[in-house]
Amino acid sequence: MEMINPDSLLPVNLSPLEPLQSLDAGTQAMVIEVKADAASAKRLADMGFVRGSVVEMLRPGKPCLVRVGNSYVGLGVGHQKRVVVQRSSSM
Amino acid sequence: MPAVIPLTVAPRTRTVAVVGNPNTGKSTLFNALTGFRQRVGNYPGVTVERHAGFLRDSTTSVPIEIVDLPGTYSLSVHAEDEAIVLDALLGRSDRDSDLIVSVVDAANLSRNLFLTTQILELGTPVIVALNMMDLADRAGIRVDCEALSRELGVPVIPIVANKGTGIAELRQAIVAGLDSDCTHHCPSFPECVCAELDGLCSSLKSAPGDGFIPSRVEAMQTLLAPGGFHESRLVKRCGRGLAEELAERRHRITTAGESVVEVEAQVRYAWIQRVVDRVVIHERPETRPRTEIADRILTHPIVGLTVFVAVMAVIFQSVYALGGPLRDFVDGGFTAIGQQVASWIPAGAIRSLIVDGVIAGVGAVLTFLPQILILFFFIAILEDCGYMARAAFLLDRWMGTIGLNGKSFIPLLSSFACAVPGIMATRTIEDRRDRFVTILIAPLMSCSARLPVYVLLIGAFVPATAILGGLLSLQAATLLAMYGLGAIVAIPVAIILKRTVLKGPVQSFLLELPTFKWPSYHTVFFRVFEQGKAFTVSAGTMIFAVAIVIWALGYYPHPASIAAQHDALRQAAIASAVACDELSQRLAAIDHNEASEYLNTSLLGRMGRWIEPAVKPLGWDWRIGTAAIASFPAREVVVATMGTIYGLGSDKQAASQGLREKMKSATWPDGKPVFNAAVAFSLMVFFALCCQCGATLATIKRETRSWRWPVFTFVYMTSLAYVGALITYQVAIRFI
Repeated sequence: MEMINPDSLLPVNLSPLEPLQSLDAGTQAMVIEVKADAASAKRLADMGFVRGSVVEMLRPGKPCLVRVGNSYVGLGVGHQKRVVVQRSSSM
Repeated sequence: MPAVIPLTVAPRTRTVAVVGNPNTGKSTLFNALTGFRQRVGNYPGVTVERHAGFLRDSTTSVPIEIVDLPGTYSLSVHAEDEAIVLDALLGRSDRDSDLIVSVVDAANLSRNLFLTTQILELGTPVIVALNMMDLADRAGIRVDCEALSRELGVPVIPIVANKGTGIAELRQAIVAGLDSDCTHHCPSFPECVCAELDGLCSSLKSAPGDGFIPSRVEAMQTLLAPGGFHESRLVKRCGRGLAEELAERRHRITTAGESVVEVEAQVRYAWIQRVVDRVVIHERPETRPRTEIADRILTHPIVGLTVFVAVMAVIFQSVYALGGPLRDFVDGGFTAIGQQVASWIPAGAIRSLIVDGVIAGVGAVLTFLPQILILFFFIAILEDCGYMARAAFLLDRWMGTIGLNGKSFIPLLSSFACAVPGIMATRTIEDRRDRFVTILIAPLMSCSARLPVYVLLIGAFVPATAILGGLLSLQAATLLAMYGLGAIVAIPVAIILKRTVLKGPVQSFLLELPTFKWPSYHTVFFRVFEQGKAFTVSAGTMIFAVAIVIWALGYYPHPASIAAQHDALRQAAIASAVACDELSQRLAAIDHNEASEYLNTSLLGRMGRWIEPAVKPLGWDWRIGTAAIASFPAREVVVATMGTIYGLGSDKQAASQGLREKMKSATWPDGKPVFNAAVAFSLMVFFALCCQCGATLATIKRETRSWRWPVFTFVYMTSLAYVGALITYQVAIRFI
């Protein structure tokens, strides 16, 4: 799984934080935070959604299809809202 | 001097557990290691199937038992089936594991190594089986197995489970690894976490309790998953004091600047990232994997859904088109056997028992085996190739309208084969209320045991006209409609349940869509074989027993007065010396009348007439009513029961006909035919909606741990079935 150390990025390159939900098809972004209750956060983390992991939106919608590392995960709106990501033009 | 007696101690069975993420080819590997000599049992207290078998072609005399554990992403527990993995690995619910084989998908190394790093901490020898090396290779991912082995400190064996590559090497490594020392490398956690973990472990050891000492892995999952499964289980054992202690410890971790919930994933993934960087070589610039391209079509809200409907149509059409000729063949075979046997045994109770009871009853059920196998075959393929998850994804938004999410779809689709595994598959649903709603509507899905009823009645009463320009026959379309009926009725039922007794918000969907792969012949064959065996065994025992009981009730008391009376009539007919044709006709009529008289005076006939007023509004005669009631323990019995009843009630001439013909020629006392399309539809609707399955009710009881839900299911489904059949008949009789 591609991972980026979020602290190593220069602040200049950074786009604003946004929920996974707002990514368009084909956009890549980095996970900054998972703002969910303990159980959902743990479950998302188990599946690869942790700070620094790179995600790509393949099909936005309810549910959406996302690539995280080399696996593909379908997420309902409830989960999409809780994953906070940051796009980066360099990716 | 006494002779030296060689000590022959039976070698102790060693246990090897196979674990891994879902969809990593774990079961395929298990099949390859054990061959087809495996046993399916249950874990104590839960209904999760325990698949175990002995290592094939082992190089040692020690028996090595391989246990296939349910797929899981992590040892932290979110759903019921995941609790089993950790309990089994720790020797709680199972024999202590001597060795763990961790199956890792080479194409998706980081995510798969997450579970492996947790397993490495258990203190049991581990072997990593790096599976699907071929797929990884195609994606341009090369894994250096030796380097990975050095990094993890355990043997790493590259395999391609569905092609059998590397299995021999893995077998050798298992035998060699049984008594090896643990030299694992694990990620190290921040000091504040380690300190709290050590503190928790020592206070758990001294805690009052029933001698249950949680392992360090459990302690970690308790500490770092607030409100999780392990916390509630340990608090139940050790008391409220533990909850307070946990809160304090978590507070200290937070104060030290770590996130309780995220720290485990962060530490493990960071460690894994360093390992992966050293062992994975990306050979080619990444191209879009085939799975992604396929998913552009298959997960599309309109195109994907169209494909899904087409796939379902193909399945149902095949069940009919391929299964039909096979069914007729088996049917013909049983009729021939019946005739042959009838010619060997003198007339009387024994012949009637064997021909009308056993052969007609069991034969009537086994006739449907080909079609059931075809259905299981397709479901096994859909599951194994990865399409099932796509179907769940596509249907999530539709499931949302009834208050469930796409995850409920997989158990419901499995329930089309059989509700029992379907209900067991609901364990992957985290939310209790969603799980219960899914359990309660699962028996409405048309299971394979209903298929015989549909096939029998559709074959007899629906013409094989081609519709939709020859794409589908009217018979296949009717079958599809019967399958759809339960699913459609389930919609309002789920909505009502979700708004009343199991009120709760819609849970968000979260499911991995595994990489598409060719289904493994082994896995598909084995699943079809297992299900077919279960069906045949049930036909051979339960259905056999019911068929005999029904036969006995329908045969006795068999008064001699009826024989005497009809013999007199025969004599009179012969004495009247009419033309030969007319005489044989008259004799046949007398035979038929005699058989009907016997059945009418039998215990079954009396019982049937007692319930007839209740089933008459549905268009049924007492024979259908009796068959329906006899099939409450197991619905597949109905065909056997009808086979027996109509077998008993037919004359010698009709004995050579199949059940379909006998049904067509059955009449009411006034000579009107019993069966017409309206009756056939009413009967099919009744079977589509009724809960006639003891196994399902028992499974609901076990899974919900209460009698309330099976009773509820039985009552609501039976009422629905009666009302549904009543409406169908009353409407159909006016229009058809």
